[in-house]
Amino acid sequence: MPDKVCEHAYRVYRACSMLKRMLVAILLSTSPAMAGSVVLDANESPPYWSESMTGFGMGGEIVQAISRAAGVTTVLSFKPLQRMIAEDDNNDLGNPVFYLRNQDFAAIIPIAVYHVALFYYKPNHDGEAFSVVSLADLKGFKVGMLKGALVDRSAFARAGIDVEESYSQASLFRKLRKGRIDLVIEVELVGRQMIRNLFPDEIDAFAVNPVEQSEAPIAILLSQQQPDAAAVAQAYRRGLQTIVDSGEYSAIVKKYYGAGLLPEHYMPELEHFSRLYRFVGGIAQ
Amino acid sequence: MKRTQMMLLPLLLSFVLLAPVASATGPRVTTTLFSAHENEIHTVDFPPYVSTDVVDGGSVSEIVRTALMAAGIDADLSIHPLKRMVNYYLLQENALAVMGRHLHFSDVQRKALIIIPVMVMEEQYIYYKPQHPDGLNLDSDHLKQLVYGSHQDEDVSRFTAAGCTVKYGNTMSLLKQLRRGDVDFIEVPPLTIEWLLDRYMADEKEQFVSLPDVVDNEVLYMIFNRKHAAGEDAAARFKQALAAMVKDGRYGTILDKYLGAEHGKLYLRRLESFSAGQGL
Repeated sequence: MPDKVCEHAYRVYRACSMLKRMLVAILLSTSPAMAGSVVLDANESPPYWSESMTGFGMGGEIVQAISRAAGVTTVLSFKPLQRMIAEDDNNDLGNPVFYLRNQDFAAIIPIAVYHVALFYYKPNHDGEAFSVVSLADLKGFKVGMLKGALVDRSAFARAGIDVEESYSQASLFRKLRKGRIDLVIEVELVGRQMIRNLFPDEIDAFAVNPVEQSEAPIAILLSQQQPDAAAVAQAYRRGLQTIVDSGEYSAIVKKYYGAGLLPEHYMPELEHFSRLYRFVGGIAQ
Repeated sequence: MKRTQMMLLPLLLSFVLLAPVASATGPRVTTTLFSAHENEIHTVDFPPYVSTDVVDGGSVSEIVRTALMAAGIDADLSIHPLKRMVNYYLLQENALAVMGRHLHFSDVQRKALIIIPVMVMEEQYIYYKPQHPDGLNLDSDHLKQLVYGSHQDEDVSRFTAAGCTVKYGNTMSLLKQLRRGDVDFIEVPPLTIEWLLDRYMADEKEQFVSLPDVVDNEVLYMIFNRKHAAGEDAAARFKQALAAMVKDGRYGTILDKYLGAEHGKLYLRRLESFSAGQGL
């Protein structure tokens, strides 16, 4: 009897594992011109990409909708970021800047935009609003950010900015609430989600100042080893246009940003990144 | 490559201090985010001379920023991963200026541009020893059997004329192609090779061998845009400021800081002789 229980439990476990794999695989109608599925590697970074979120996060939902509209079978495969960067024959998802030194891609298709914002807890600043225009405005503050996010470390040190880094976004926002750090620099959508999750009763006590010209793309990056890469890229671009035109794209991003919080220039910025990454020589292709 | 080893400590320190990123959809906190400058000078990642992965953006970044400030030009460098992005800003959005190498403009495009040399680097041929255990022979009989690995817009006419096949990629991709045997040789500044191998392929560094002779000079240019309202005036002021930096020693001091005193002087001499040869 115990053996049968174990066998049953094992079957349930295998069925669950299979179901999970099927959920991760976004199976859609396959275009006859592109037999086989396209595997896109993603890195756990909620709310954009997450294996545990419904639809795999905002990026996951967008990829799913694009694939459905384009008739492409797409599978998301979650991996550690360092592995995604090191591999040079895989398809990637994310900000192209992280991958482009190590890999030449056949096509880069921006599908979303993210922004950086400065967060502070108003009661710790006597309720006074302040804005940051230049690096000098941060002098004297203790600024928190995710480990690995700071690119120009020496410039921040020279400007007299005290930087505190953490591997945990939740830790940064808890310290911000306690006054152990003055400001947090984080992706706007990530920060808003952190505040909603950690301090649902104090959302209005946190100030969110989007940093101007901080927009960055989230893209599908197709490897040169991807079969039919040009046709797949064309299908994805067509799929993106279809869901933008139908309003499905807007519905997805607004669901994540919340009512009235989608950045005003989001769509023009997405179009700009699309042109930027398709430009070849003097002719946009 | 021995000559480059002596001044690598600052470069090694620069990337040891830089932590890896945690998220592919995360913030990249740069000074540009908090820059109130009126203009951006677009350029492409070219370590260790210009790169967000090098302290203060690298030697050329500091030279250009210093010259811009001295010239009263309110602009900062914006470093991109792809050359075509730099071209986009110049040709499609009429940016004030860009910086780059391997220039490839049509005659019509060139008329709208003012080109000023900023740095002259020597380049060497690199090959992968396990693929060529007896060394690499580049005489005319052998060249026609070889594959040359080129960067985008590099002038490959002398290789194609010799019968070489040409494949393309960025420098890291070309290093991997050398290792796989997909290409036989590439041409890159020794410092760039050192920096990339130390960072990404340290275990195999000794397998990448340079041919002893310097083969070419590679020039990094500031390219000002006449189509921008301030382009011509900014170019004149930048040129004057850069010349003053060369003359009063600030240019050399910056190079010394990043590359060591001996190399600083070499780069300075190369720029002076190149500019003199071009009548600049």
